[in-house]
Amino acid sequence: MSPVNTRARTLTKYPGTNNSTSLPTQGVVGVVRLGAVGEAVLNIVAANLQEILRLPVDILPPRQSPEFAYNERRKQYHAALILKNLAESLRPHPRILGLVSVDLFIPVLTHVFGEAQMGGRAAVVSLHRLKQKEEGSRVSLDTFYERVVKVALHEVAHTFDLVHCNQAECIMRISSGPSDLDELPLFFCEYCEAFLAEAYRRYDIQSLPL
Amino acid sequence: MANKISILVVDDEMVIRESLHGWLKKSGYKVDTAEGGSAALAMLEKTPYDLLFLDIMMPVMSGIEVLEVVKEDYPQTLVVMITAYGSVETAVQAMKIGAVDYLMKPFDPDQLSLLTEKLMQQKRIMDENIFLREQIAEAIRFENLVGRSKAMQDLFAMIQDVAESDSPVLITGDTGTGKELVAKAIHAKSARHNGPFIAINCGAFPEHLLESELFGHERGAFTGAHRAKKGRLDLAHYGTLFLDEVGTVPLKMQVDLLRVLETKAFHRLGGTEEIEVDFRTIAATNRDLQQAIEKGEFRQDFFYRLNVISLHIPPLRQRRDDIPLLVEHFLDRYSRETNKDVDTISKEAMDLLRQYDWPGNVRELENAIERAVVICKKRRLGPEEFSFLAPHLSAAAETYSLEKTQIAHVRKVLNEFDWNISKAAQALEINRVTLHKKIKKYDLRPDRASN
Ligand SMILES: [Zn+2]
Ligand SMILES: [Zn+2]
Repeated sequence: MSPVNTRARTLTKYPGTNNSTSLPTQGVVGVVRLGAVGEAVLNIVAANLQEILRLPVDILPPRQSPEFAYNERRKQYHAALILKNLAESLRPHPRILGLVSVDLFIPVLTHVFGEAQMGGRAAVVSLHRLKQKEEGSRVSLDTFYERVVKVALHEVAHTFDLVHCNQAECIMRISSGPSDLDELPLFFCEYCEAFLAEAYRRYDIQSLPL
Repeated sequence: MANKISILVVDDEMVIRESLHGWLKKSGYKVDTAEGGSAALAMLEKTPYDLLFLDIMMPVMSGIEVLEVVKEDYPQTLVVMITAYGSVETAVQAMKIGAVDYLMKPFDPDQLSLLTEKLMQQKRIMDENIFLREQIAEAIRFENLVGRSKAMQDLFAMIQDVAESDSPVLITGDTGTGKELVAKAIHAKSARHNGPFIAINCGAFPEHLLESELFGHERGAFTGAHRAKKGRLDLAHYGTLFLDEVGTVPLKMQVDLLRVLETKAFHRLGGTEEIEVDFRTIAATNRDLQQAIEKGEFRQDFFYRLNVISLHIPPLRQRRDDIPLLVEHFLDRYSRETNKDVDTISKEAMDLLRQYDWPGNVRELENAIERAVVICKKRRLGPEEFSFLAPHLSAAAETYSLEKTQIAHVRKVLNEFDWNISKAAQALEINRVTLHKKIKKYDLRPDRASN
């Protein structure tokens, strides 16, 4: 058993460039913005995924807004279609994370902050609802960045077969609503850390040294 | 713990099925899907799902129809209805039938996660309750004495009262009603509960063997008695002696036993030493001892000695309301003992068991459940598993004639109450005179040889 996770993590806000010489030339996770998504948030997500997941992350060239996933009746974008599209393109990163600014849904739910293929290749995060408080006013930029990073971590972890966790202090806990998301820590509990390490082994993925 | 929870999603819309399946998978649940009611019910026959998400609006079989079957056959499975805009009233109706909640499509993700979490907690509590209940049942050792009916509740109260005294008890009741269990319960609740409970089935031994079983013998008391042996009277010291089938004890031995009960002393066969014993007597019989006394087959003084307190256990056909409870009890036991996942019974099968007359009483029911579990290939017992009961069932049932039906019914009720006219008339909701007339008109007579 690993000791209790006491790391109090804060967001890495000013990341150095990835693809630096010390990293392998081919990252494990490729992050890509689809449509109107700022460069800053993309960089912050990439840096934090790299640090917290201990995986080399590459930033991929931006793509267009996923209009193919637009649903006329729901006036939202179908997350599963975006995942399918991401998974089929942009080889050869073992994992792909897309960032979109449009509102996402899956047929059974009114909306989702993010979505991922369990044990698959693709994950997606929507910035749309993370910018606002429940009552509609905007949150601070810091809070916004932190939320995006949390959803991104959570969704990418799903692609490594991690399921929701009922530990209070864990990023894999299910959150209900954006303010609940703010309560989540920026790290995995010791169980989920262990599952993650096991998944890296299973998928034959080389993680970065601590 | 979450990993063990299994969920079935029933919806005719594939996109809903798949996206709910995907969402639930992320919480680590075991999830299956079905596109309609009959597929879902077929899956339930094989797998004990903890939770069902059930669409209300489906072609062929509506969600409400499926819900009714599920609540009837698999009451342990929690059901959440999936509704669409405009079917909220039906959802409310569903909750009256037994659905735990409903969600309107598309669901709010927060609502869905809160509800799922709440239900899983509830499920854990339910499982713990079942565990607790089993432990309690084990602890008081009432075992097969299961019953919610008035008759059984009265009996339980009697057992409690009787246990407090030290007087002899005579338990009467048909074969298989559980007389030994009642005797054990009395012993367990009495001040003698730390002493032994020694049972002997008096009908199981030929006369000379019964004698040596009860009294024991000294070495060389008879040919073949190579060493001394303690009898059951000896063994029962400080405890309870249970004389089962006491109606079969030969007259000569009734005299000997009466003497023991009066003096609390006896000697072994071939022995001279008087052995003092201290035990309580509980006797049981399925014979009408009054009748045996009249025939000179049973001694009146012995009867009075045994029958200080009398307890009667009603036959199962007079407490049919207890049948579902007993079925559940035995089903639980035999699915565990046979290591088979048979944990429910269909409504038709239960109806069939309730209708059957159970001449062998609780023991026959127990054997029937055990047999059905052994032959069953699904997780739910259906009427086909009880086909061995059928010949006894259908005799009266297959007629459309009003008069024949009435005759059969009156006969059945009379038999149920052992031809006690008052009780039968009460059950039939007619007066005694009318019943007498019917008996005469249809030439009905008692057909149960045992009474
Ligand atoms: Zn998740
Ligand atoms: Zn965790």
